[in-house]
Amino acid sequence: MRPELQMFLDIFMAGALSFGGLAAVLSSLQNSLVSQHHLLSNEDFSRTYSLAVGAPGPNAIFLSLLGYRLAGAPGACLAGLAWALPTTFLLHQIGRTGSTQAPAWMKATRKALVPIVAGMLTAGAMSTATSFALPAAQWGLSLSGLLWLVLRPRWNPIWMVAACALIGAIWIR
Amino acid sequence: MQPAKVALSLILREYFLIGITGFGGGLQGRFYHLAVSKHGWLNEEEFADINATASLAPGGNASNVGLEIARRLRGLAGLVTAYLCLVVPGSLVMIGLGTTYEYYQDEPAVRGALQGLQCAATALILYSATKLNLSQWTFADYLLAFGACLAIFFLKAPLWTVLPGGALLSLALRRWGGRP
Repeated sequence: MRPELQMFLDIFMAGALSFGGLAAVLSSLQNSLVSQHHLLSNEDFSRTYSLAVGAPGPNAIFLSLLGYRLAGAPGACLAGLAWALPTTFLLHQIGRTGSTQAPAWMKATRKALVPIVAGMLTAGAMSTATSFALPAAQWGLSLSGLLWLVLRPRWNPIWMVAACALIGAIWIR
Repeated sequence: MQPAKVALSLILREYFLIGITGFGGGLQGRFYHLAVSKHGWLNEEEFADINATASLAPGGNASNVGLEIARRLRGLAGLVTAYLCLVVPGSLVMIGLGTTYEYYQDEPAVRGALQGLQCAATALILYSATKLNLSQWTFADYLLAFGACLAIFFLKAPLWTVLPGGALLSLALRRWGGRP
């Protein structure tokens, strides 16, 4: 199969099942794009995702750069579309029904999914950590960043992001 | 509850502004400010309903809130406009950043900064996990979370088996434990 088409299918599938957001399906995307279909390397994947925290907008924008690296501007559009189609279609359908009219099984299932989403998010965090150059030090920095976010929820997270980038530029060699 | 018609150009302007300034989380607060405090498009109750709808659909929760607001104001046209405004500016910045990085990637400071960004990304993902009502969790929930992480990260099980399988198992455990 052509790599662009494979990328489209992998992202589309992840998008349709992305309860809990992109970060929750990050590890699965890495499994399908990197391990299964070898479209890019582990390092490229986690680097691309990390750049997205330095750019404005929802983190799904990381897919644009991923597609761009694979197939230029058309690839960027294709990757963006692969995510946008299932997520906005389902949101549109559920929104039209309204949350109060949503069937009971849907709400019960969404509630039951919470621990699964938490596990998937943890897997996502481990994915971004796979290409740490200094694992022990960088896990320390990540957990400090987490502590910052938990203790100062009202501060804009961009300061934590900037601090991590600065610390990295000075000390991580 | 059809609110007064809001011009698409206003949606375009407001969402574009959020699209170019909304960094790393905190988007939900921006949308509340926009729709409830600033323009009065929605009241508290409607916003809470939008929040519930957004969490039922796949996709990022915060951006879903923004998109659902736009959909209620102007239907599909509003939703598509809002989506493009949120995603296109950031995507262009991303491609710019990626190209710049490739150009300077032999610079140790640049490589280090990216390693730092990876730590920030890890922290942000873990932070979103802490917001999932951990205080109400049972032992079975922790076991399910651990199992899902194990299946995806270590066993590399496909998402379409882990997600429905995990949901069914979780539903069964909840029923067995007598929880709603």
